[in-house]
Amino acid sequence: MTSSFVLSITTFIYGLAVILYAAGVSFKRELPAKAATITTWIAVLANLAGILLRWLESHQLGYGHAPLTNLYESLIFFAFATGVVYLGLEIKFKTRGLGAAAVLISFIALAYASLGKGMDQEIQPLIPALQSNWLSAHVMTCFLGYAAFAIAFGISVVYLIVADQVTEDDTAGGPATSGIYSLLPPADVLEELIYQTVVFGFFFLSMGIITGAVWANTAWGRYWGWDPKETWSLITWFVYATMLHVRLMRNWTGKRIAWFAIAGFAAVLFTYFGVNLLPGLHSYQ
Amino acid sequence: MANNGNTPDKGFFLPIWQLFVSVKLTVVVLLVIAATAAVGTVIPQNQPDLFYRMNFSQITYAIGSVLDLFDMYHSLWFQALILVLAINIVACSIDRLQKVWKIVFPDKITFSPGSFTKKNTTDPITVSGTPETLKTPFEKELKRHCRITRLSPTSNGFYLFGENGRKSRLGVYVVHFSVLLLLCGTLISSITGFEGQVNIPEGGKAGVITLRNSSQEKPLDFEIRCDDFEVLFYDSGRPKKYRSTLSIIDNGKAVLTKDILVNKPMHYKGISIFQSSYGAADVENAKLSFTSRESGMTYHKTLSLGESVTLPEELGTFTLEQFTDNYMFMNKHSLGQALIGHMKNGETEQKVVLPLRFERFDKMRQNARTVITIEELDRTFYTGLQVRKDPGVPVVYASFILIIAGIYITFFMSHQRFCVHARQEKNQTSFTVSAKSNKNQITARKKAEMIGSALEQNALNK
Ligand code: HEM
Repeated sequence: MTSSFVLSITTFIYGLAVILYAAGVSFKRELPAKAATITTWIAVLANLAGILLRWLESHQLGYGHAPLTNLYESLIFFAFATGVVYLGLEIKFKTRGLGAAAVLISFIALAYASLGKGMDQEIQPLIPALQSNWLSAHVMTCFLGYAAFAIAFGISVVYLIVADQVTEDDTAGGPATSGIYSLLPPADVLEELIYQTVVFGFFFLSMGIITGAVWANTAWGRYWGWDPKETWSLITWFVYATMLHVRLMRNWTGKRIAWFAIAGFAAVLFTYFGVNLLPGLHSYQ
Repeated sequence: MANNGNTPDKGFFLPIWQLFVSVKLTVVVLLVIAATAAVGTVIPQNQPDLFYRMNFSQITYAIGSVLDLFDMYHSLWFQALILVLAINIVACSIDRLQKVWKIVFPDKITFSPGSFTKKNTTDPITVSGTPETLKTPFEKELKRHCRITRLSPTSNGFYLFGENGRKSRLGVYVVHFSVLLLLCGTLISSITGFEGQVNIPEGGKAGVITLRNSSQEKPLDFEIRCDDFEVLFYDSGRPKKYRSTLSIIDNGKAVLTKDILVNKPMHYKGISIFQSSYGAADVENAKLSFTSRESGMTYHKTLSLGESVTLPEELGTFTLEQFTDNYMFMNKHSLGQALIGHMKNGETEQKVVLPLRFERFDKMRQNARTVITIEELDRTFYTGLQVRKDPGVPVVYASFILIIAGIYITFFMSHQRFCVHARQEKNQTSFTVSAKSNKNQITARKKAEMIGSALEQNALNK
C-alpha cells in the first residue's frame, strides 16, 4: 500500500464523517453524530498512517525527511492537524454539533491534495536550505495554528447562520433548541468557542513565526527579511492580535467577532496560497 | 481583567496621553501596519532603481519614490508606525500596571464570600461529621489544590478560601514587555550589526567583505581561508549539499577550522559566517581532445593553464591560456564560462574558444586542422559566504521565549479563587464550593466540582 492510496481512502472517510455529522444535526439524532465521531477518529488515524508511510517511503528512496516540505505534504498535515484540533475541541467542550463544519475542512484539504491541478505528489529530496530540524518545528506549529483558525472560521460561519435563527426565536443567549440546530451549542457558547479556538491558533501561530525566524537565522543569517511569506504571516498575526484586543478590551462580541475570525482566515489562506504567486524564498515551487 | 478597561472614548479633544493609553489607537495602528505591510509584498522591494523606472509609469514611479514604497519597511513613516505601537504599549502599561500590581501583590490577601456567584457554585454536598471536625482535614485537602488557603469561621460552620495563579494577571505585561524587547533587539541589530558578502576561492583567503546595503568594503579583524569546497547533487540534479571547510586566521595563525553547511554556520568573535552561494573560480587542469579533420584521429591531452602541447600529424601547437567567467562572442553574445587558448601552426595563429556550455562550438572554427572539445575539467570553486555580525540576536531570542511564555500565561492560566462554605446541619455538615476566575469560567467551575468531590471523598475516608 502506498501512502497516496491510504490518503485517498482517508479522504473518503473524512467525507463520510461529514455526512454523518450533518445527518446528526439535521435529524436531531445523537446516533449518527456518535458514529461520526468514531469515523473521524478512524480518518485521523488513517491520515497519520499516510503521513508515516510517506516518511517511510522517503527513507526507502534514500532521502529520509519528514513529509512537511511541499504544498502536497503540507496539505496532508493540515488535514490531520484540523482533525486533531477538532477532536480535542469535541472532547473539551462536549459537543458534536460542529463536526460537519470542521471535518469538511479536512476533507477539502485532502481532496485538493489528491486531485488538485498540477499538484506535485512526488517525494523530492531536500535542497540544502530545507535540511533543518527547525523546518519541521516551523511547519508543524504553523499548521496547528492554521488548523485552529480554519475551525474558528467554520464555527464563525455556523454562528452567523445560527445567530439570526436564535434572535428570531427570541431565545438569544439561551439554548438554540429550535429548528434543525438542536445538536448545536447555544449561540453564546459558539461565540466563546470561536474565541477559544482563535486563542489556541494564535499561540501556535506565534510559535510558528518564531521558529521560522530562528530557522531563517541559521539558514540565511537573518531572523527577519520582510520576505512576502514572512510579512503575510505577520499580517495574519496582527489581524488576530487585533481581534483579541477588541474582544478583551472593547468588549466586542457576537457577529463582529465572527467576521473578524473570517477575515483572519482569509489572511491565513493568502499566507498559505496567495504568497506563492509572489516572489520569495518560501514559495513551494 | 477583560472588563476593567478605563479607556476614554468620549469627545474628540483627548489629551495626547489619553490618546496613547487607548486601545483604539492600538487597533487602528495594528491594522494600518497590516495593510501597509501588505502593499510591500506586492511591490518588489529593494530592486535597482532602473527596475522601477522600467516597470512603472512616470507618475507611479514619482509617487513610489516620494512615499519610499520601494524600500518601505525601512522608511521613516513605517518605522514611525512601529514607534507609535511601542509608545502605546509603554503608556498603557504605566497607566494600568499600578492597579494590577496592587491586585497581584496586595499587602494582605483578603477574601469576601459575597463576591462568588451562585452560577459558579456546586450543589450542596452533605457529609457526616461536624464542621469543627472537618475544618483541619478540609484545609489540608484544599491545600493540595490551591497554593494559598484561608480559614474563616462563622456562627455555624466556616468559610474556607483557596486561590491559584494570582501572578498570571501579569501575563499580558510579559507579552507587551517582550514585544518592546523584540523591538529593542531589532534596533540593536540594525545599529550595531552589519551584513556582507565575500567570495573566497578554494585555497584562498579574504579579510575584507562587501557590505550588502551600501556596497562598501569592510575589513574584518581576522581572515577567512577556504580550505575546501564541495557541492553534491542528487541524481535529479537538485543540489544536495554545499560544504565549505573554513579556517579562521587571526594574527597570522589558524585558530579555528570548521565545516559549514547551509544550515550550520560558524561563529567567531561575534561574527557569524554562513554558506550562501558558490561558483567556479578557476580551472586547474583541462583534459582536451583534439580530433584531426584530415585523418579523423583523436588525441587526448591534459593541460594546465599556460601549458602548451605540440600535436602529432603537424597539427600545430596548442596553448591553454586562461579560464574566463563569461566570454562575449563577437562582443554581443554571452557564452558563459569558457576556456581560451590559441593554436599555432607555422606562421598562422588562431584563437580558440571552448565554452563549457557548448560542446561542439569549436567545429565552427574556420581554416582549422583540428576540432577541440573539453572532456574533463579539474575546477576549483569559490565559496560564497555571508558574513554577519548581529549583537541583537540574543535579545531577540530572549524576547521570543518571553513572548511564548507570556502568551501561554495570558491565555491558558488564570487567577482562580474558590470558596468552600460549610454549615452544620444536625450532626452532619453540608457544604458548597464556589469558583471565581478572571477568565476561563468553565474551567474554574469544573475545578470547583472536582474540589467538591475530593472533599467529600476526604470526609468519607474518616
Ligand atoms: C503587537 C503589539 C501589541 C500592542 C501594540 C498591544 C497593545 C495593547 C494595549 C495598548 C493594551 C491596553 C492597555 C493594557 O492593558 O496594557 C493591550 C491590552 C491587552 N493586550 Fe496587547 N498589544 C500587543 C500585543 C499583544 C499580544 C501579542 C497579546 C497576546 C497575548 C496581547 C494581549 C493583550 C491583552 C490580553 C490585553 C488586555 C489586558 C487587560 O485586560 O488588562 N497584546 N494591548
